[in-house]
Amino acid sequence: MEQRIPLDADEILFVRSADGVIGVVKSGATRQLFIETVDDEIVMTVDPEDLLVASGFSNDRTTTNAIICTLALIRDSGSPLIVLPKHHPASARLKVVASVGKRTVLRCDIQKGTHPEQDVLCGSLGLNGLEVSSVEGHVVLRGGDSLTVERRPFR
Amino acid sequence: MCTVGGPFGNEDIKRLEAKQYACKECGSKFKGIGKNPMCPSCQSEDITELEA
Repeated sequence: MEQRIPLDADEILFVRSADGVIGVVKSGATRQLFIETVDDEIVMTVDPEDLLVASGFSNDRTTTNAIICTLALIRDSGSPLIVLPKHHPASARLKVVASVGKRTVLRCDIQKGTHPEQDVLCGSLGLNGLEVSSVEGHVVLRGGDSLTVERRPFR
Repeated sequence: MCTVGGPFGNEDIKRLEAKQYACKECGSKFKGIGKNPMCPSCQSEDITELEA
């Protein structure tokens, strides 16, 4: 499956499987994100066409709302990304994880929140292998079976 | 760059290979990743990379 879907900065794209959902927005006007550890801060510069992808581990209204909130916190309100020490108990409680960049690949066989590599994001089994990439004004989806796609306003 | 909702391990963040910068406008020093870094304090793009 390959789909090329138009996406403006004021829209969100949902891709759903039976057991999970991702939300995708463009970085838009946001220029910087802050990554905070217990003793350090890293400033990440992003491009307007970079994608913010948030992944939830069930496909229901609560998870969808959590994805919307997560993306709004990161992109629109400038909330810093908090990095916990490895093996912190909160890691197991994560309901939504997110990635930032031109390309993201969903993987179901990695530990939630433990992969800062450029292009890997933890996702549900049904989204495993899905590649989400950005081209100007569009999002390209490759891979994945029996997925539904929905584009709606993001405000 | 994969993160949040979303913490990830502190040890892993070192793989992000952030560079150290100083702002020529306000003197702030910061670590940054990504293209076209800018000062987080004054938003100036007039910055210089520092030696590691």
